Amino acid sequence: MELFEEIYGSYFQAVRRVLMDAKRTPLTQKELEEEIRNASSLESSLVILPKLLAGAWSPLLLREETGCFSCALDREGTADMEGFLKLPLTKLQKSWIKALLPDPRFRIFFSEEALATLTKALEDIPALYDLADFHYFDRYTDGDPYEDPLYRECFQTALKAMAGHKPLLVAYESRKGTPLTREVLPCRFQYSPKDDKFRILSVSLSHGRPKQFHVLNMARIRGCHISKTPVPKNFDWDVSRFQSQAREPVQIRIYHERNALERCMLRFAHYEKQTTYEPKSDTWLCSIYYDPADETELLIELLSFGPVIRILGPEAFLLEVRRRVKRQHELFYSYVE
Amino acid sequence: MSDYQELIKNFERIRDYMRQFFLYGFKVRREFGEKSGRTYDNERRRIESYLSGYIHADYTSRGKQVSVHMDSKQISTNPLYAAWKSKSFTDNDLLLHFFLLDLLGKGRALTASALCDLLAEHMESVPDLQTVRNKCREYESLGILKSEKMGKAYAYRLAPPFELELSPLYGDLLEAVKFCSEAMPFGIVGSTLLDREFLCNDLFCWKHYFLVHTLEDQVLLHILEAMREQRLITFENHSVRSGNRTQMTGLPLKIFVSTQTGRRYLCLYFFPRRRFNCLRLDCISQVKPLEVCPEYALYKDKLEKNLSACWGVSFGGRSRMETLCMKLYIEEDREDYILNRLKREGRSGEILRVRENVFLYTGVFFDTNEMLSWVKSFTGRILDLQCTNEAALKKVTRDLELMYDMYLKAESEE
Repeated sequence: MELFEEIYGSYFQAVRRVLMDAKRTPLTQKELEEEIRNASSLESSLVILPKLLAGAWSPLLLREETGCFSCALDREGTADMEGFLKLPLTKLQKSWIKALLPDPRFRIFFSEEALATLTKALEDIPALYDLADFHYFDRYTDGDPYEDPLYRECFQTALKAMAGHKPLLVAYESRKGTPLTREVLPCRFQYSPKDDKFRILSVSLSHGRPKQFHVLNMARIRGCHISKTPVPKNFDWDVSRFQSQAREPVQIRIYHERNALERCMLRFAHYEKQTTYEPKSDTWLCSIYYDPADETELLIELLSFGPVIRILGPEAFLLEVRRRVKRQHELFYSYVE
Repeated sequence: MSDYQELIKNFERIRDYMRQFFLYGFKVRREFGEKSGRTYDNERRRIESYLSGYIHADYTSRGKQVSVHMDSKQISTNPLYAAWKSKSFTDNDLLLHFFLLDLLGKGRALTASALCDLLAEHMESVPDLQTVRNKCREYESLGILKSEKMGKAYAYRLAPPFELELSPLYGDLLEAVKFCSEAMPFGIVGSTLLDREFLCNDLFCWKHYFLVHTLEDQVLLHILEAMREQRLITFENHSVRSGNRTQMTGLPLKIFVSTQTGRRYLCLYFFPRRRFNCLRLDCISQVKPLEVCPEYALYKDKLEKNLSACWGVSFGGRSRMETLCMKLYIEEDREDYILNRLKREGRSGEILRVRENVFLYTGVFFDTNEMLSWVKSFTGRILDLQCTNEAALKKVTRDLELMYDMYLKAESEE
């Protein structure tokens, strides 16, 4: 099977969208141009627009007497809009869905009854891959308990609240084991493949008003239900506003040793970063932009590189590095300088 | 750049460029040694289009430096999927696609020649019969059309809707697809499912998401197909360090995945060396299936038995098993999170409480060299280290000394 097929391409998708819109209501040239720009990238729209208006793809549109463009397909107007120009699911798509079925992270979205229906519907389809084909050798072993019925129930309730933009009343156990209850607006699930954990990025409600940003570990939720408290007017569900970056990036110098450059680039690929080569010293300078909440994790990751990188700053970060390195020296050689 | 086209015919062409731009970000035109400057410009323009909004250009003394600025915590969907959605096509491909969907709608079944007649009503220059027939066959192989014998010819109709789509469960499935399209293998397929419904992921975001590895998915799919059929494969392996390209043959058994770097490896059994070996997936291309291996299950079973002795992807050298012992200082009362780290990150190693605040970690693996980075992540807590691989022990001890020199003796240098 091939993943790289034109039917999944962005041009086909953009043209389908435009044809659907032109079928609903004929579009002026200006509206059509705007539709195409919305449905594709700037570079793509420069190709699609002339082809559709007057080029090789123009048979797909009809120019009406009013000067507007309508869709040339389904002239009898009998097709339903929902399924208009929608491809049947391909073998690739079905077999990918089939491969998801045994994955415990997929299963938490469904009840046992729904899983049985899915299994039956997909029984004649070969799975694209088998879970056992993969060995995740460095995944943390304290991942979420996906098989736990309470966990699944809470996940499904939280998902429902999030998709429906409803507040959620949560009974939660803190890291120290203290029970808490909190009413939150669940904005997004955050998933980490390394931790194998779901977290809920949320904003707590106090007297019906948004109060504070909270990250709730899904596995520590002991119970939850959708609450009837009205959502504050104009509440912004976009959680990215809470994900700040430290004022100063961590700066490191990468030496030309033990393939350090490639290892660093891969290891820190999920951070925003900027790297420049310094020909004079034959080293690379890399600035890593990070969320202050991840500072300790980043520090540990940087220390694991040992002396093939040198952490240059910021000062507070560097102080902590020095403290740990000094302490290590003391532990090994039992003296204090 | 008059010959520039945004769409591409061959995915391999963009795979390496995209990986280098994304990972390194700082390479300039002349550093992409293998291809011409024109190729560099075209690939750069393509990538700038796919990743618009994330691309920054800086002008340095070494030339224009293009880099990708992207924090994976801030994105909903992998922007590199755009590369998978950029396959080139002819004008006829696009016209036939939409006309076939329209003409075969509402359960109609038509032969290729009947389709040609109907197309003539819509198109000024109708594709010839063979082109229409080929397109129908292509769509049949993708699962979009079904064929049935009608007299001497084959008639084609749209594949019937998947029964699941008619049930309310399909909506729940699409919510799961929003997650799986980013978190599961071959997430790009999930992305095409969302495109089909004009949906996007508005429920999930990510931490530790390594986007670049989607570029290996086609190679991975070919390997998995060979694994399913229990076949040997031949492929080209490109060594990043030496630059050498080598043709190799082996029995593919498993995909090793690092969740800490996103990197994926193919684990094979090499018959001449009589060894298991892991090779980076991003260095593999041109996979071709060979003959079926009758003892496939035997090698697979051997590998499964060895897995718990692999710290990472190495099956070690001649000395089969190595032991590493690390004594750590952890204040039990207030540093339970360090103890938790040891438990969840220590793989199959054992943890023993020696006395108050002192814990001993013991791991027995094929290659303790692979553990050294992890050991250094406990800098500031290691009371003692012992290892049966003396070279590895020397290396890590030397590293800790060098770090002391770097950060405490040579403070004024930087």
